[in-house]
Amino acid sequence: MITIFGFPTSPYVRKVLLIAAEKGVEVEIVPATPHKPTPEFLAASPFRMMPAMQDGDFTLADSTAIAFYLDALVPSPALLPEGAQARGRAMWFDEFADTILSNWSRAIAFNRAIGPALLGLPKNEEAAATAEGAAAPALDWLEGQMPPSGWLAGDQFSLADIAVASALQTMAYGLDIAFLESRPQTFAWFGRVAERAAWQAVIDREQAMFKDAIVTGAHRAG
Amino acid sequence: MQIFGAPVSPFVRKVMVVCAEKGLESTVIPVNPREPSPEFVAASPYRKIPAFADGDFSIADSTAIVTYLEAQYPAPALLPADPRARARAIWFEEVADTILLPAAGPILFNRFVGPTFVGIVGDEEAAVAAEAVLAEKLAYIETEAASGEWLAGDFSIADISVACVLRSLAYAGWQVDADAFPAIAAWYGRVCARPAWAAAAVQEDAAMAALAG
Repeated sequence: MITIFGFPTSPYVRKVLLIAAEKGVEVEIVPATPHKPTPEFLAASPFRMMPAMQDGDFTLADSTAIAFYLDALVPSPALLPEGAQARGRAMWFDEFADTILSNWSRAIAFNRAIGPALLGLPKNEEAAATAEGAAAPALDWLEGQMPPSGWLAGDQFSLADIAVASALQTMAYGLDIAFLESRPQTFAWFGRVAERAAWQAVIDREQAMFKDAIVTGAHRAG
Repeated sequence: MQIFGAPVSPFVRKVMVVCAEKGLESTVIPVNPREPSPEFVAASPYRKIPAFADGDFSIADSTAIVTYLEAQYPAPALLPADPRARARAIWFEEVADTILLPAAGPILFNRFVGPTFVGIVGDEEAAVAAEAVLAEKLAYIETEAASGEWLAGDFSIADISVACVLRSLAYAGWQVDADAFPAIAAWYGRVCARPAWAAAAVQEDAAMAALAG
């Protein structure tokens, strides 16, 4: 079985879990954090990036690289749309999610919810509020990109939808859902993503792991 | 193909080299960050370089541009078909873009971009500190470069992406230390010997000369 190292509240880890679920690939999740790396995690991820992956004797890190690996291994359903323009746009949204949206997502979620709940850190409201303010223009831009029906990069559900929805799901740990309701096209699209069986399976597993980590205090220092 | 940006950026050069490898004619169009053209802003909502246009289709981000080019002009392939090689090609592209370039950034900025284009005196201490950080990251590339002719099986986007970061550093007077990193030096030599790389280098020199003029 393929092992994914990471914790599923991370937008990058969830992205990989969603792709695996869409393709019907079963994965084992081994919690890993950059500040407490295991030797197995370090071997798979030389720069301590999350997620990392192990498939037999093959190891790999970076969510987009793992996404391409899973797609080459199990080509159907396809990760990227058919047409060249839609394919380019899908990668653009993947980069937008990873390098723009997720930075704010992590800052909002970590400082308000995930850090306090999992690591026992004090809330850092100032950092979260700054990130929330910085995220607003990106969310407004995204709202303007949303199609009235269907998916971000065209008719086909793709990596674009998975990456952006995953970034928003992490953001939702630290924000009231009103941040999406006030952007109706994004809210409707997010609803379509959340109806998918793969999404529901991944989120159920994530919530169970999140609750369990709070109860056991497994990620707390010391 | 229209490529918006300056080739001192490894991301801009990556797209130029990919076009050259695929035999596609490209024009590099400089971007004035203070007065960006409407075409550039339309293609790049976050005003990042490069932006790109092929006829009436435009898009930004070097990875997205390369994905488009690979789908629209598949031959020669720059993404391997084999799952492991394909994944490793994407991995090295990510390492180049998100690990090597941020490590190299202070060298390039303080010794070239800042003094040349921003009119500031570079912070030499920051550049020296960055050299040490970059060397740590290159130690990983050295191991990988020693394992074969190219980084991810056949010549691919992996080689182009990593080599583009090293080429940018040449503007700052930084060169691969062949004693410390013999495998990287040999591999980089192989990349530079490719006709497409040489053609893109001529195009780059002309574009940079025009910027300086």
